[in-house]
Amino acid sequence: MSATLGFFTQNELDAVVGYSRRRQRLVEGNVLPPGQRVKTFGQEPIIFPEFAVAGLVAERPSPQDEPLLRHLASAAAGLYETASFSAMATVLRTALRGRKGWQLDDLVAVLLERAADELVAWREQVAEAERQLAEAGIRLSIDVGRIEDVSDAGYRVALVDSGDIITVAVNAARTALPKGMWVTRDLVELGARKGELLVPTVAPDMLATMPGNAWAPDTDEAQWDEMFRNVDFKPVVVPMVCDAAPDAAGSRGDLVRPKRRLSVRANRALYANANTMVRSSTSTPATAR
Amino acid sequence: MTYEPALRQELSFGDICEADFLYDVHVREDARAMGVEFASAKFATKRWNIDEEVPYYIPGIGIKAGQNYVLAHGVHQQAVLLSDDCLIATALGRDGAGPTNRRLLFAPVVEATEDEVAELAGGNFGRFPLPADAHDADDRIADLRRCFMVDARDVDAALKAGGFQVRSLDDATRDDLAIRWSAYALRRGPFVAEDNLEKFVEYLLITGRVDDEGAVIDAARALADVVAAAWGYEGRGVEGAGTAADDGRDPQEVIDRLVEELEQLRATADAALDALRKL
Repeated sequence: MSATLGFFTQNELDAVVGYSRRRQRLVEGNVLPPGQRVKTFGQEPIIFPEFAVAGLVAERPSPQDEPLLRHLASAAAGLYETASFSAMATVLRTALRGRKGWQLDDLVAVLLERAADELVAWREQVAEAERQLAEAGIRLSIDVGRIEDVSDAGYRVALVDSGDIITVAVNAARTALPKGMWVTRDLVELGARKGELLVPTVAPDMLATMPGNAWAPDTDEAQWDEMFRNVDFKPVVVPMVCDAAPDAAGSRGDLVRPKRRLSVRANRALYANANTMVRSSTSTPATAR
Repeated sequence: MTYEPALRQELSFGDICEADFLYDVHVREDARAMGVEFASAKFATKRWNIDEEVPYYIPGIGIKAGQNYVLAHGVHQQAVLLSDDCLIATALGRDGAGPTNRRLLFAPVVEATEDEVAELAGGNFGRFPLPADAHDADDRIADLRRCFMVDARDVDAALKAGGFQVRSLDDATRDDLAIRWSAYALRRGPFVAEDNLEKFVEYLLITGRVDDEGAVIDAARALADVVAAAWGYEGRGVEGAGTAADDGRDPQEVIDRLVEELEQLRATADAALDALRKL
């Protein structure tokens, strides 16, 4: 699986829901779990675990939805209490202090530089929380992709893992997302409700350096993704046939003159300097036999 | 000896060469035509610090007319040149003409131990030993089974850049290489004749047709000499006549050489006949 970051901020969430006030109303209405503010001088990123968007498929919650939404909020709150999140927040506060503005890329870069292990740990805790949510009936299937095109039919998104290009309805995000943006395509089940959402995220190759992380793409994968962006074909898969170099140089299958008890050798002088492969100018003159 | 003390002035049959592009290329079941795409200069600069578009090749897609990229197998090696001198000169351009799009034939040269080289001297059709000598301390094997071709234009460029020729074989080794190449490619020539006649010697003795081991060996050697003499007649005599015509040499000199070669051939044939009739 390609990397998912495991979290987003209020900026990405605002793009999905339309604007900040609406996000706040959804939080107040218990549709979205509250995010965790990482307050520092002049900056206030709000961190949400990636599963927080699941609540959006129940924008007008029914009584059947409410226990599931409480479960969602409880899972998010538990993650804000972890030591790994606390360490990440401390790093972010220090890094963002007095800074003019920030984006998700900036936060990720800071975390990878100064708290990579904590980020990995927290991502694993998010994954564990998602497993528990799935048991409660809240399931997410998240794919990383890139918006290739936008039309009336929807967003054309190239998925990193499968290489498929899918079409996602334009209302999967309330704000128009630009071509070229990296997103997660979230298929969400909340009880009986289902929905599809597009959430802005970082490019997968940003996560390639994350330590000990089996779900992050490696450098080559990120590199190939960039290169294959020019190609609008699906590659033909070629079954590899491997050669072992030592075998190729060996003598197996050779036509060999066996060592015989009696050997027959012609008089070399009879064919000396009779080489039709060479020009006389590059050979010494024929010698007397 | 194996090598000339210095490189031959012109690229020649039996020269050992090296270049970044010398691979013993061959196709297997996974061979596919490939299309070429380009990573942008911006991307290439970021990734590899190369400030230009960088091509990359993908099997089976984006194939354009006039392109001939193919996915193949191969190992980077030094290689011995197996094309004949006449073809080499033509391919690289005669009389000041530029190189052509013809191809030159190479066989990879691999490092070997002294024992491996000594073992091959006896008789392997596809592997030719290049023992170390006073001019080169490395034992090598030319693997005729893994021939590959190279565009003469790139050989020409590599020659001009320098360092392409590594060693030149001496005349005797080139004679043997030509005979071994003929044995491998055509199953003809003195090397193959010796093999066939050794088998025939054993057959004569095993069947009891001949009891005298010495006589049968003498007859077999005489028969092998006929093939060797025919090889000499064709090379020194007939090929020599053609070369003399090209060079505008004295015709009488050529006739004398042909007579000499035919007499040699007749003498060896007569000796073989005598030996056979005694069996």
